[in-house]
Amino acid sequence: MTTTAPGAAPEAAPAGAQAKDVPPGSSPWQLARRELRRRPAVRVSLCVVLLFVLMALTAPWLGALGGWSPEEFDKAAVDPYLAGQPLGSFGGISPEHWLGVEPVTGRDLFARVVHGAQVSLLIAFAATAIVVLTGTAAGIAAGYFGGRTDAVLSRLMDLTMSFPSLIFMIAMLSVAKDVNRIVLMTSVIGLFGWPGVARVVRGQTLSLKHREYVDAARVGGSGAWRILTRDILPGVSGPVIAYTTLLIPGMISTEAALSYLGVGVRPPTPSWGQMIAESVAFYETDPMYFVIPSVFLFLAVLAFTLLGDALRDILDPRGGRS
Amino acid sequence: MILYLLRRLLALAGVLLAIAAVTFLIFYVLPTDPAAAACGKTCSPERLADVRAYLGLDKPLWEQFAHFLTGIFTGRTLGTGQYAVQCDFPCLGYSYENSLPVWDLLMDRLPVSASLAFGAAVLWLILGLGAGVTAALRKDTATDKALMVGAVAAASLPVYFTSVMLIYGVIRIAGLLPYPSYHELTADPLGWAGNLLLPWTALALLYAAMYARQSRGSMIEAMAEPYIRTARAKGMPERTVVVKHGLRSGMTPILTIFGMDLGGLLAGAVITESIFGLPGIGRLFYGALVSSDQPVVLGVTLLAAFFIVVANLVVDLLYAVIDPRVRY
Amino acid sequence: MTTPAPLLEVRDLGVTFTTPRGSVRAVDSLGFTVEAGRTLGIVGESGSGKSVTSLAVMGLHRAGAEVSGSVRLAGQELTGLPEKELAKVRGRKMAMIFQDPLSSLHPYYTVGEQIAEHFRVHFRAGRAAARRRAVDMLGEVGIPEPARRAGEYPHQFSGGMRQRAMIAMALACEPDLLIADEPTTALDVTVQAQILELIARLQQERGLGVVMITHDLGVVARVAHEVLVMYGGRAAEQAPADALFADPAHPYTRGLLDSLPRLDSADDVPLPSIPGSPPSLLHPAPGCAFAPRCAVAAAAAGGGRRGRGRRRGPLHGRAARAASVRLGGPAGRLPLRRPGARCRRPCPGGVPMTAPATRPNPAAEREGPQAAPLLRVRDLTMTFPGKRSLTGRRSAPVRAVDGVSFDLEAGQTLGLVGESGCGKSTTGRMLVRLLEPTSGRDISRLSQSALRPLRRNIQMVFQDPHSSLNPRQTVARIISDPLLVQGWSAADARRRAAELMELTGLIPEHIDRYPHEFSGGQAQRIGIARSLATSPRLVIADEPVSALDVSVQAQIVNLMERLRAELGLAYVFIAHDLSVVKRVSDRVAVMYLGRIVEIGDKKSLYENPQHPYTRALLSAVPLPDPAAERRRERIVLLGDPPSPAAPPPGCTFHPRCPKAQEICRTERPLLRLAASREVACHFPGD
Repeated sequence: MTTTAPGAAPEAAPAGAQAKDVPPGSSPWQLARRELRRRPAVRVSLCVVLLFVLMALTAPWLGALGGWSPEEFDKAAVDPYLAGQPLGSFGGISPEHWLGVEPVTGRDLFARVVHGAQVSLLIAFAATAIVVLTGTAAGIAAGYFGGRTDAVLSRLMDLTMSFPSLIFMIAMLSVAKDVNRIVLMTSVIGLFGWPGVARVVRGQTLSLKHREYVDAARVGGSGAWRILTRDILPGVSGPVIAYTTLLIPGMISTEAALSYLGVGVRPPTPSWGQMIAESVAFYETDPMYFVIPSVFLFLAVLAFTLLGDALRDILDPRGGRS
Repeated sequence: MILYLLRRLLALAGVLLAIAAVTFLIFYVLPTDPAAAACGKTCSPERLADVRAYLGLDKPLWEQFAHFLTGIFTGRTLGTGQYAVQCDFPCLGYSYENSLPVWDLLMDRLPVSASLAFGAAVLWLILGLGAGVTAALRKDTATDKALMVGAVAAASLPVYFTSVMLIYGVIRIAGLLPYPSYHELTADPLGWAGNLLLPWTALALLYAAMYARQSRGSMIEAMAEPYIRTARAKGMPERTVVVKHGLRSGMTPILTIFGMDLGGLLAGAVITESIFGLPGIGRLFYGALVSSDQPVVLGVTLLAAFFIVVANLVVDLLYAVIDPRVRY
Repeated sequence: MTTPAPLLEVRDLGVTFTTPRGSVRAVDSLGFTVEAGRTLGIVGESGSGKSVTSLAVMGLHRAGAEVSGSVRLAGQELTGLPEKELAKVRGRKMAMIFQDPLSSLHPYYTVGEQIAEHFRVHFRAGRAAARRRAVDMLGEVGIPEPARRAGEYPHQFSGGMRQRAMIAMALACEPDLLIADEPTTALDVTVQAQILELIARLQQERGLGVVMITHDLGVVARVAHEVLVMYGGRAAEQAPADALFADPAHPYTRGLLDSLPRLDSADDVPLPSIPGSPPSLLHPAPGCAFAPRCAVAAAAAGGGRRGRGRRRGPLHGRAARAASVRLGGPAGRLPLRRPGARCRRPCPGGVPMTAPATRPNPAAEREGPQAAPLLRVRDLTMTFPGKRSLTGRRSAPVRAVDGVSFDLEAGQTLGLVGESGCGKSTTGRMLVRLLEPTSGRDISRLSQSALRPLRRNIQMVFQDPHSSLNPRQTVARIISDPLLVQGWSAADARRRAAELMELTGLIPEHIDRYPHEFSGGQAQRIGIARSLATSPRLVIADEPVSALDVSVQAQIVNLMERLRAELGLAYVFIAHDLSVVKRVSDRVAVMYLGRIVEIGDKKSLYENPQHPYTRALLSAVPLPDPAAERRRERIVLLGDPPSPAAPPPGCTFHPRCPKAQEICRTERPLLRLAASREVACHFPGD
């Protein structure tokens, strides 16, 4: 029961200190959007992100635009006398093959990278969705109901976090043989990600729960469900959105790492990590083959990270820690 | 304090037990047959049954698990008759692939992984915290922005890409270093460091980038604390303010992540070790995956969990040393 | 030859912050002097620039702030001094203490270490010598067992002890000037009295010059020789304390003093208040910063725009002249200081200071004692389970509220006062069933669902106006929420919300705005409007004005009084500020460690307190009147209020009580009738 002092925050601008260009009646969301739009880094990374998403969504048509399907061999594009080296400079980049071809097989890299984007982003997004949904549900339940629910859920979070996740994922993926790889990868990656979200949400819920406006809702006669959906959930959504955006690059990296190690999606389905794994052997003879999927992976991770950073700055200035 | 330690150790045992159970379940319930793997490609049904009995796979699952657990503490004999193998304490299983107990394999490879992990940790702490603290103290300047853009970029590079580029640039093109092979620290300290330099760099770059981002944030937070203002009001030189008052509280949150990261790496950096061909636990693990050597996979998983849980405990105890408000 | 330079001389000080939204002129053309052995009080509300000023004097502004003008300490110019040179002066010749001693002390080092460190920086002393110095200093500021306490960490100190330690640290190097930035704001009133006493003693012993920065006019009246009133980053008025309080010249000062509820004034007179709220520094109004709220300016605006417009001078119009004359000394004052007087009459057009017309008689007095009370509370108790430590052991349970009983008639206000941790808020929260009482009777037996119809009759107003409004909901949603829960249609609820906005002095057109678009005072009006949505008969107000600026407090107090008269409401008014409670209450209950120690009619309780704690509490409240402050006999209690987790045996007040006898240590006194009210003391009265 501390008494906040008037005059305690001399530098805090008094109310009404919103920039003049903000129309009255702007919701916190509108203000956040306005703030985001002012940042050039946000605009650039958002463009890159949208480009990748678009690429993944339209992969079949976009890939067809180059005239090759991802699994189609083109023996004419490689030199059979030079151990299957692509013909032409820069890994066989030509009007025919926009990003060159794979050595030996002559498969079109553009088609493979575009289809790889689809697989990589699908897994990353699906895993993120699982993580965010379970994490938010568990976090809110633990934070709001407290007591025994909190004890059980918190233990479960600690336990899950004690698992050596990468090693465990590799192990699980390697023992499961005849299952849909994409579904399996999504669920395995999702399994180890939720405690992070849950902790952030739990902390946020705990602090919201003790806000006076939640008390006010209770005094007004609102039940638990009404308070959860109208007061708590909108309150945690800001940090969750920021955290989600920062989660995606991690998911993309994890998928790539698993596929790189050969326990992810199986050939001939392309994914970035798996393409890089195949190209490592050629890094000296055909560097473009190695560089192209790496650059795509790098750009995707970078753009999502930058976007997430900006979102976190604005939606969750104190870092979501309790 | 003692009571707290006991409780924590008990909890630690519980977590390890749970992890062992889950790992065990996955390997023995999921649709793969360790017996078939151990038996080889040309395997008659009778022989398969023999192998099954030999491995104890005909027994109920809980009994197998119980045997596995007691084996850890007392050692056990695997199989019967002329093929019987003695697996001494602490028995994590027996690798038929390598004809060695898993424990011996792990202990054989541990120095390599530990060398890699500790060396990289030193490097990334210097680089990452240096960059993070510098950026925090010069917040919003060009230095800060350059460092942070660099950090985001470095964090976005996959470790296998960096590793390959390092091998290509430093070894192939410049010819500065030999292709890494492991030298023992005690026998050849210079060779040890020289050969590990590239793997350290590759691994440290990624972590340094993450630590730079983290430490910048927590350092900015620490330097905004009112007690920093008090220290300045006392007329302390800025250097002392930063080092004595800012750093200690600013670096405390880093400890938690560091514990987790180091713990995780001790049981092997799978990708780095594979690319650089270092005979550590990570590569052992990767090899075991390829050859379906499940006792080894199980052993590595348990060891990794053990390191993480212990690292967490150590971090929590260190907190009490650093922060007098934490009392057990 | 010439007179020696004053200890501190500030001239034409300006501080500008560069923010992404534009530059903020936080302090503008400010000048003042402080002599050795004298105290300058700087008063102002939030955003007035008083703390910014103190940091500028200390040279503590970092990047992003631009300081201009001149600060001279004993003749040495400090602005523009390189950081290294400045550091030698800082802490050595001038020292500073801050509002929140807990966060201002480093949590990782012992108190002794932090004091010793300060000493070692400025004097090349050895560790042992520095440590001895630290212990000496702790002893000097009245910390018992200083040698042992020096080895403890700040979190092991109580609030008052921490501030003492801060003072010990500040004075470790024998500075000439002490800047105290709201040093007692976070402390309880009895502890505040101790700290102010301590600063005064040390000042006398050492001939310190003191700058006391505060929002509390009472504190200024108690300690200051000269006073500087700041508004919108500028000096509004500067004068010797006696003259300023007796005869404020600036309309703002006058308004501030008038709008202050005080212990020593009659409270059946309406409380004048300053309309509006403190200005935004980001978009300063042209001319005098106070002009938009100023009655003089409004009057002047009718003919010829005097006092506003054109240039933004440091002091303007009549008040400026009056103030500048004041600076020369009270003797030659011109009779120009009257402008504020105009505002005491209700002005036509509803421009300036608003005041409720009359104060009605409480309804209860008319109904007589026979009517059943609106609220009857018997033996209300709240026991919190002890905290579980990391080892899993629970500490002793905390009796936050221990057998509280009272009645409240319809249309009456019961004031609930006490220091932090006395259980007053817990009591309030139990009344609206935010907390389930451990034991007690009446409504507290109802389950949450059976409670819903009852909710309509008891509502609550909270302390922090912004944290009590959901930032993601419009005002319409916020106010109508309790109605929607009761099953109202959305359209009806919205209509009712607009009515309530009108009723509470808000503009109904703002119904679709979000809380962040309102000032603190307006936000509190929204909170009140929400509490009235269901037409309750009783409103629990938990520190409803303590987070507000002084000039806004009066508006809210007036609003609550008006609503009570118009709607026949009853209030339980919980506050730590005895002056505000005196203003609004019919009956007052004083709480200490979870129990009511004295309860009775307001007038007799304030005029003739029976319980020694009530007496001490009343005497600790500083009056905004230097002359009265000097005359007053003060009872300064020893120590801090004990923790409710380990209450002392017998009468819980006995360790701090000046009258404690043997029986107080063993036997708990019960509430019983003494001098027309109930007192829980073995030796009530004198």
